[in-house]
Amino acid sequence: MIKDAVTKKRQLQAISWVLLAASVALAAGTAATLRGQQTDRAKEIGGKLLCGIGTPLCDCKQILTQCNHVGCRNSSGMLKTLDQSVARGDSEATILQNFIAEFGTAVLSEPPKSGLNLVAWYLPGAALFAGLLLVILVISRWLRRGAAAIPSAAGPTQGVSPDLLARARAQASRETQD
Amino acid sequence: MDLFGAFALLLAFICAVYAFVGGIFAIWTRHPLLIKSARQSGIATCILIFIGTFSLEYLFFSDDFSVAYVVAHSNRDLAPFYKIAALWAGQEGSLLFWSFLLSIYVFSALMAYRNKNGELMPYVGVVLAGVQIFFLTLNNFVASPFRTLAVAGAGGVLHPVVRADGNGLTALLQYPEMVIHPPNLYSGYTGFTIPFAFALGALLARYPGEKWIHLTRKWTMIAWGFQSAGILLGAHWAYAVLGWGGYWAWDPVENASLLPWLTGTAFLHSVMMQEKRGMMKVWNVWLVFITFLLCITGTFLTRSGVVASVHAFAQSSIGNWFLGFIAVILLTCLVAYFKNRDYLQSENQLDAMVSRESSFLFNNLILLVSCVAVLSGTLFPVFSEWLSGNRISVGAPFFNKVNIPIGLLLLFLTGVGPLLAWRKTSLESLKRNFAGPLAAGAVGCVVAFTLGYRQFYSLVCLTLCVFVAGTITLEFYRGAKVIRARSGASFVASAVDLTMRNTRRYGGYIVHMGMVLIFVGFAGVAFNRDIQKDMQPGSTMQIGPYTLRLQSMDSRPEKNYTAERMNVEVLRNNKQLMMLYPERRHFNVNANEPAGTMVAIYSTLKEDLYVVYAGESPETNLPVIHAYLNPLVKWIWFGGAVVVFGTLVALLPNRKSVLVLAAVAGTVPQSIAGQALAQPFTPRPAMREGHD
Repeated sequence: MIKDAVTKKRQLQAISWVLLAASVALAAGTAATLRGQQTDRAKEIGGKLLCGIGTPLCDCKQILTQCNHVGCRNSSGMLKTLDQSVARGDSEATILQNFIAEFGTAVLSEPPKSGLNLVAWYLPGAALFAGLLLVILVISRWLRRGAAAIPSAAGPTQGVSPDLLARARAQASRETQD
Repeated sequence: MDLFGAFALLLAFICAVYAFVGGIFAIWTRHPLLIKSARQSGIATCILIFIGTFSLEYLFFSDDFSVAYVVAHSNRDLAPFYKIAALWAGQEGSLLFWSFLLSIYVFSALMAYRNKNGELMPYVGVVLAGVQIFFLTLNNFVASPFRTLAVAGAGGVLHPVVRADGNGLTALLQYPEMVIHPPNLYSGYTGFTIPFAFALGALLARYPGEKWIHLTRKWTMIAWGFQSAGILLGAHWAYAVLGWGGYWAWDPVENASLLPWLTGTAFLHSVMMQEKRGMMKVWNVWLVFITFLLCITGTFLTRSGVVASVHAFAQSSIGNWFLGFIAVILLTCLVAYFKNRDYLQSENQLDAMVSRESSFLFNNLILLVSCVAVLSGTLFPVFSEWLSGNRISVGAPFFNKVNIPIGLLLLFLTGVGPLLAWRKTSLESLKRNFAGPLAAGAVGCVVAFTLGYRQFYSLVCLTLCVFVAGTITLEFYRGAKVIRARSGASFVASAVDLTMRNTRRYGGYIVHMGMVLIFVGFAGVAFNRDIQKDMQPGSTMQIGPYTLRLQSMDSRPEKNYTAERMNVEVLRNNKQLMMLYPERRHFNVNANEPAGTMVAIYSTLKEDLYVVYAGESPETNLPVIHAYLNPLVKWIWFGGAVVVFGTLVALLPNRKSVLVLAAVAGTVPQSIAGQALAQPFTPRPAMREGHD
């Protein structure tokens, strides 16, 4: 009987592993079939720029390479300039700088990591760090409070009333439900 | 009918003021008749708002082009389906729609608790009336949807004007999902008003115990469910209509909908700490306050023109009203908190660092950090311009860089939390609970890496998805195994039984599983690719395993628009797979309106072939076809459906405990019915397990 149960459990485990491996292989296979297609350099740099900044031609403010407005004089001009710069072999910094000179800093799809903009970049990290400290502090405080409460809560073990026992059971049931 | 609607809204405003002022007097005097009249005035407010809203819909359906709002957002040929959607197409109507949805919630709450919670409900009624007063002020005096068209005649006398036809509905809104996406999202926004009113009411009334938490749990889940569905429907709409190949652009309006969802999710988790352990009372009250404030802030961002967005309504001074309202809410919350903060003393302490309670704290932390990241990124351009005069942009690359690690941390905690016990988790228990899922995750990672899945975040995401799916499956497996051993039912039936015995817990796990599926979809983003080509009939383009051939193009006149359609043949391994018909719609009434895109998608679990007819190239005069290959996107929509299903399950009441008679023969239980019947037995009542 016990042997049967063990065998069954092993079979279940084996099936689970096979299913798991198959699902991962399917997902990974998807990626593998798509791997190998390199992103164009212009496309990569274009991903760091926005369309429609500072001009009335297009107000979409989409990522330059994602602007899907055919005939958008803004993005077609910008993409042409970008392609020419890439063909010339300009560095990424130079290309971005040229766009900033023409359209302003707002042409960049993310704030530059300098000056006041650092606040945007560091704020989430700082919030995480401060929050982590706070959570650890709160947990430590609650733990200390819990440790201090143990002697009084333990009390005498004899003479526990049925009412107290029922309440304790109800509490245990409630606290272990979810 | 416009006068009737306007009058109904004015009366609703008066009733709301009475419900608010009368409610305060009722609380002060404790007079039962005053309490009753304030409540009934609140109910009357809701009914009058219903009347006002239906009046506006009537104006749309009767093509009454004397009303400015109807002219601006409808026309005679507009399909009835979209005449419903025209209600929320503009500033005025969408604010009325907000009032309408809010009044559904208020009406339901006032009716549901009309004979219950007598100490608390007058406070709740006052808060709800206060919120309604604000929106009714906008509906009546700031952005009335019932204004009629008029021209100034001789001596400045105004004469009413009736237009022959309207301007029609914006092309972007003429899509089936736009009829259900805004109602879902708005139902989410407005739904959070109920937990807010109960939290503030309980704090003001110093209402004892955790009753307000129990009362608002389902309301919060309903609002959260609508918000989730609304966000996902919005994402799907953006994917299927906007034609840029993605579903989330971190647009300020999208972000505005995400903010209360994040804090609402944190609240749904941390509230369990208060219910079970009497802990985190201050935190929970503030989470509800913040969630409601973020709902209003989101509306402020959409309507004020403070941040630029493709979704935003026209810029107007209405933002100042919202700013004022936000200030009033914040002030009220602060005063209520500081006056009654002793009421929120925590009852319990923590027993161990490694426990379910700690995991909830970390879960809340990560959700809140994500909220801070999204909010700060959304508002940073505004602050930057104010402080330095320098205009900058915060686009999708920033949000992705900041939020992807946070999202992955959250996914990890989704797996960890349910495996930790309340109060304390022993080392043995940790080993027993985590060994399987961790091993599964590790195997998943190795297999994925070996097969070439080497984009860092995608690899981590898939690994965590396997890990979390493992933890959830383990929870169902263990519980169902126990039931199966007792009942002898099939494994699936046991799992269903298990879920129905504790719908909240297992519904929650189903929601988690839905989130896992959504994250599987996100993992595919790194492998998106696209190609764009000017094509003449007969020419082909290749993307991944698919060959697209433009067979022909045609023009199809419809009642309200003319569709310019491309007939694209999709081939795979030189065999025809299917036809796709991407199109652009030119609406008849407004020539200045940009054409609407209708993307054609061939969707499988593996990938989406997404084909857009982007228009005619100005250089070659040929149609431009833009094709995308987006892996795993379907998992997101499927996961969304699972999230909604899980929410519905969690809303069901737990199956009640029932008494059943189990057959017992002597001391040896017989499981085979025939044998049991053949032998004498003594009936014995056995309690089937039930949690409530």
